[in-house]
Amino acid sequence: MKKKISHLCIFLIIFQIASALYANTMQEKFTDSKILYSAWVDFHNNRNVESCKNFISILENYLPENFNSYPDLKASAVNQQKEVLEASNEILKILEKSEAYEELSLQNQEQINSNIEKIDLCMLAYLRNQNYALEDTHQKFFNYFMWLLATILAGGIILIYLNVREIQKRDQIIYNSEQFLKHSIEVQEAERRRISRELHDTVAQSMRYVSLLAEGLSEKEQAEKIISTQNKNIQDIRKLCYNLTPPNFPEGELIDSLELLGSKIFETGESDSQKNDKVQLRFVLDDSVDFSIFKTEQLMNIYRILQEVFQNIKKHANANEVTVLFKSDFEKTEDKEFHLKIIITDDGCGMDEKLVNQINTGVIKNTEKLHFGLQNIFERVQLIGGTVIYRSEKDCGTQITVRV
Amino acid sequence: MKKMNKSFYIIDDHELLRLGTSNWLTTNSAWLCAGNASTHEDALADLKKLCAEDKLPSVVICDINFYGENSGLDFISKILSIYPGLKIIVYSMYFAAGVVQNAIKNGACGYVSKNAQSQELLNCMEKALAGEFFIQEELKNNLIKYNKITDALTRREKEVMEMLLLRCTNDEIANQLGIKKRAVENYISTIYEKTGVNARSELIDKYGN
Repeated sequence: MKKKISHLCIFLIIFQIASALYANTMQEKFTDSKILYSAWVDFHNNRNVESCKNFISILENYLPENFNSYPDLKASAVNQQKEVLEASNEILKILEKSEAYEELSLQNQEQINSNIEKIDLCMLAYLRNQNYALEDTHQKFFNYFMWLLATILAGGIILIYLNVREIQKRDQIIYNSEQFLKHSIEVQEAERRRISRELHDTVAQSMRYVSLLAEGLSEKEQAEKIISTQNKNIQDIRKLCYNLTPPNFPEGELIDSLELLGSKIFETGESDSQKNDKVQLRFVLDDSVDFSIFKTEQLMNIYRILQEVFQNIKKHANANEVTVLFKSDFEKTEDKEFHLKIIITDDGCGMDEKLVNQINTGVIKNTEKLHFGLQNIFERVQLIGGTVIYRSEKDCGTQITVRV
Repeated sequence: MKKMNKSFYIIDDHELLRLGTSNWLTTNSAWLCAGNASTHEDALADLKKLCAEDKLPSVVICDINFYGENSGLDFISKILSIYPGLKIIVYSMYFAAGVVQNAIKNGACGYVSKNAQSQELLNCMEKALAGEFFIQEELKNNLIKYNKITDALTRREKEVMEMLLLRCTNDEIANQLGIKKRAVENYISTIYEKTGVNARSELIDKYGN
């Protein structure tokens, strides 16, 4: 890196020196026609040897306009310079014969005047060429500019069109995938409901019948075993059912189903000692909450969101207390309308700050594939047009606010 | 004389369980089975016949869920509108608080879950006969409802809120509870959000004494 910089420095220095030298050699030569004209005007006014000599030296050092793109103009400029130089040398010769212009003979004066006229014509012609070239260049620049503008405009329009089409295509894909998600969730839900009902209403009751039979057995010890096993089975089936779909949803109330689900998820074990450190789960329903405005599938989605949240708490939070508050919410933003606010709080170990940020900014939706439960929550929240916000502090629990 | 007979009628769509329960009750107690049915129509027809013979059962044991629908709740009010004095006990696989409440609202005088030991059902029937109200002990817990917003606060949040009401500063709360100041701020915003207030003064106005 350092080597490169030093190379660059050396190069810069060389460049500086070269450009200084070049400027030196060019000092006497010039291209500004104003200097030439002012010298000519000076001679016109004075008509003496000195001003003539000055004009000639300036003319010799004068570089006519390059006219690079006009070869004939270039040639004529060179000729004009030559002509003017010849004429002015002639004037000089005549002038040197005498001290002042007025003392010259009429013939000489006439000669000078005709030469002056010649020079005037040449200079005028040169000026005209210069103007012509300048105007022509302007015209060309203007044309180029118009073409450039037109190209940029056309390019821009094409880009915008492509962009719009891309967006439309993407929207279509998103719409399709949302429809697909919706549809697959519907199918899944229907199947779950069917299985759950079947298990709950038929299989579990048949099991109850078996334990009923066992209660009538004469061998009490054996009967006891059968009954306790069967009760355990029934419990397991019910737990399974409430995880699948509450069997009498939505006729049974949402909160009831959630309470049952919660108690099933958070129950730790069978023995009494374990039951003491069972998670305390409280549901609080604000009086103003009205669930009747929600459709069945919306309620189902709320149920699933809470199911997922409970499972996350159970798996990660190590909490003793979980509270769920349902509050009515009245807020209308541009594209969303909220009716219900669900605040779930636990007193567990809290979540990683980075993860919470990722969740709240929606980054997690695209990056992490590991957080299946969180993905599920997002999907469901999105499906019912709601929002979800996490707030957490290490060792001070987590609060999740879902707005629907 | 016949009124003193302990008789029951059982309605349940699950055949094995219906017959099994009825069988268990008659063999393990002095109760007699007045009949059984799997649908509401059959049950009403039977009861009409029994009523004509003045052999109306002392209690009716009824399920809530019939063929995938919670029609049992409406059925309870229907029977009671025809036979107002009848004692109805719900015996069901469903025992969420809402269902229990609705059953009682509709006139049931007892509720036993199918999870319970059969003895529990027998107890309930005895209680019903004596004109008492009976809900299985385990189900009573479900009936406790929380409806105060402050119930939605965790223990820690309640502690913070109490200190807020005592007009403590955030630093004081953090020191007292031995938690970080940021955590206190988190708790406070949670409390605000739950109680629906926007400022400390509002909280004190609303919940302070």
